[in-house]
Amino acid sequence: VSAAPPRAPKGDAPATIDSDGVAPAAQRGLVNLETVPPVPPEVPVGTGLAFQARVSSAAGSDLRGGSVNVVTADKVVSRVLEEYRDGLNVTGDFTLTPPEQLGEVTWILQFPGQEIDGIAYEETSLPVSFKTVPHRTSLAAWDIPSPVLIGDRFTMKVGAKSSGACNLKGAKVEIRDETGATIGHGTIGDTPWPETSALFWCEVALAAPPNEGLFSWSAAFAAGDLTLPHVDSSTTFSFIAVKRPEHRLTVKIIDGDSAAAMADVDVALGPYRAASDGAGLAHIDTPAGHYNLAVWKPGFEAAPLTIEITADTVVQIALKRLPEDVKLWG
Amino acid sequence: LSNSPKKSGPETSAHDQADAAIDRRSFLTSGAAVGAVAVAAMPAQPAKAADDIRWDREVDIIVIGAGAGGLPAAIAAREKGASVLIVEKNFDIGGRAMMSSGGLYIGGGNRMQKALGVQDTPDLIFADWARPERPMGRFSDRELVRTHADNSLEMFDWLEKHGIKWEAYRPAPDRLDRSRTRLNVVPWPNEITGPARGSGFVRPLAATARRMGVEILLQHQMTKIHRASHLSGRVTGISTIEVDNNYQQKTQTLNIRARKGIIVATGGSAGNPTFRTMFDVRLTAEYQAENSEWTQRTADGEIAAMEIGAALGGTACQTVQEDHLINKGRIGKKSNGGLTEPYPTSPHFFRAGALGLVVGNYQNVILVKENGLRFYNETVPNQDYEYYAAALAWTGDPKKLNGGGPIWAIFDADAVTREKWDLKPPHVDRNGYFFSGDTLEELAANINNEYQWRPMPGAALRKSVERYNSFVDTGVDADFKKPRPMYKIAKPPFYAAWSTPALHDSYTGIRINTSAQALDLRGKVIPGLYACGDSAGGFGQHGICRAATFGRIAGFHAAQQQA
Repeated sequence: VSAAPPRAPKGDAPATIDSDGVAPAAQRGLVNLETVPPVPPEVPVGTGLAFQARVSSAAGSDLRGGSVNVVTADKVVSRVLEEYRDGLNVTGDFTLTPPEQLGEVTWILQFPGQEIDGIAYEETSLPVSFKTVPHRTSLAAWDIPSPVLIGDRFTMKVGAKSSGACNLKGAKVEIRDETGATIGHGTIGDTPWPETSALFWCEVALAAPPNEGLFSWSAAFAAGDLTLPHVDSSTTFSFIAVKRPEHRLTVKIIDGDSAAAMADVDVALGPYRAASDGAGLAHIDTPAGHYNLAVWKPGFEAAPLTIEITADTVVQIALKRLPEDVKLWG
Repeated sequence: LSNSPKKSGPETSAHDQADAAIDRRSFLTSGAAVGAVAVAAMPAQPAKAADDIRWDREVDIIVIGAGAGGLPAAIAAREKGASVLIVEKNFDIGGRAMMSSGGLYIGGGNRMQKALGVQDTPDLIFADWARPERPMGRFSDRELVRTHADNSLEMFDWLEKHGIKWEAYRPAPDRLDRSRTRLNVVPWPNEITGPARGSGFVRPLAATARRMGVEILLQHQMTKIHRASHLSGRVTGISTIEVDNNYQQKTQTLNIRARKGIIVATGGSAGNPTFRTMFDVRLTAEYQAENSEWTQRTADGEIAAMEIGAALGGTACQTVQEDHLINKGRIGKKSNGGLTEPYPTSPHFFRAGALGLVVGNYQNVILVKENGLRFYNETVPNQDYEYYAAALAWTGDPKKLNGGGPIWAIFDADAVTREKWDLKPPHVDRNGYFFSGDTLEELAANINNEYQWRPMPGAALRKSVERYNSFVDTGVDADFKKPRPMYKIAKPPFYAAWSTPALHDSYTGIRINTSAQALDLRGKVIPGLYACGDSAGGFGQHGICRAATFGRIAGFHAAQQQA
């Protein structure tokens, strides 16, 4: 909308009276009202709403200078019609915050009776109704050791994010096992996790299961007494529980062509993972047993092998360079 | 095999056969005769043409496109004494070749090969590039392959004469070569496309062309090729519009008459979804043409030629099942080429938006479709064409049944550390191609991209990640057999980077004969019309040598037409 278009011709249609004796809308100065953008049917509590009022008369008149109100439960906010184009008049911005309680809300968008350029316009009102709803939340769970030794104590982190980026300090987090039993809890702090916009987090101390296996537990967020209502949420996370190690496997990684030691190669023995150091060595402490031993480095391959660990063991693996993922361009 | 006689195509008129009978070796002997006098693009007096077009300018030969095909075509035509005007849509010369890594398939037993002890002959080149083992040899027009092979030795000398500096042969044969014929050019100093060497091909040739009197009209887009009548007679000229840096029209139409010929060298069709889906209907608009920062490759030449009767040639060469014609590319930017990118200091960088991120280890990411679901083992090499079949499969858009929609690389803060990625501009394009979120649900909700037909379901993304993380625990990817999944996606913040496959070359285009003359649907020559490079079909060879070889042939041939 341009700031100052030429003013439209003043005065609506010539005064006429219909056969039923009622003056047409143009003569009576009736207008249509709407919000731009439309107010959504659901608004999270405490979330500011920004909109403009758009007003049009039957004759498409330039109504700049006229005013529009928004009437809430406790105040009246007025804005002037500032812009006009193509028969539509637009106010400056209304920025209003709904109540912090959940429920139905109705504001009145009101074009007060007023005279503009010699035309008397009648008051027109439009109810603007919406429902205030709680903020959604979502969770992240990280720094979970896997594998973890059966029966050991360990810690993990849980972060919660409000869809309104609200500070969630004081909210509760529970950790639940597969049966739904609560086995740990924490209280959200007031400092967002680094690099995040508003992920408020806490550390939770836990006891590992008494048995080996793959476990899938959940973290649950309870909004509790936060200032603004929030919806509870949960997420799941998995980990492996293992027996105490008995032996050390040392894996030496070399280049199959040059026999040179290779660093930064990922090594996995069953659930255990490590990476080779500058000498090409990776160390994994493990209970006795049969395991799949896999190594990974982009651009190389080595056949996976099965290994039985019954004592401290040293294994050398020669990686074969794959044909280059050819840079054929050009 | 011995050198085959030159042919003009399956069905040619007597006039055309006479034209085609020009001994290619005569090109060499007359090449240096033209001085540096600028005779191109003489200011024509506005005049009414026979077909009622008011011509604004007039030259012997118009070349459409200042890239690897167009520049040799222009130089060759000038060598034969023709006046030449190149119209180029971009604000700089170079076309697709500027972003090339600058390696030509050129050999036949030249002095550099001999110095290396490489045994090569034109017959070997032909035998290699007509091999049936792979589609680019299997489906190529062997007449064109033979022509390429027969011209290779001459091309080496001719390009050198016109300013190309050779760096070295690559250490091993690639693609269909059995001899080492891939020769790198020396990059142009201080070029701002990296790590491309293609500047070392197009910059010297542009300098030579200008020195010889070729005029290059930048920021002029050809909009129409005119022919004496709709589907018969000679081509008479072109219409162009001047365009701005965003290819929007700036001025009125400029009509340019071509007395002898028009050479189409517009770079192919990889950037035109409507055109490319003629060959593979899956290649809908979400798949970007690599390096389109420098050249759009929107099939302008093919379409204009087809509108006056040109046929397509070698369409079986145009497959994305071969030769990196589709690839994973970089992540986090729209035009996600795999190797070469304009640097942020390049005047072309505004079209790129970002450099993109190179994934060093696909263990650090999972790839999900627009629905938040994984679809394949992420670590497969770039040549795994089953990966692309899965990537291009339908995922549920009721209004778009072809194409597979966006692919997103999903990763966490730990992956960023391991890959040593810098997520600040200019490395990623946060305007629709790179997103972050404090949680996976927030990340999914934040993805707002022009090709994402619905919001990514956050619950589906979370489920995908949780399941994948359990595979890291157990060591087995039960869904897609990724080799020993190594890293969980767990530590916030989380990221989604555009990782939709990118398209590379065009191996089909206007059907040509061995004189680079365009043929119509009945196999007849369209008098005066030529095509080369990715705009020409029939020879599935990647790179700038194919373009240059047939550009040079077109230039020589067109220059010897009757005005």
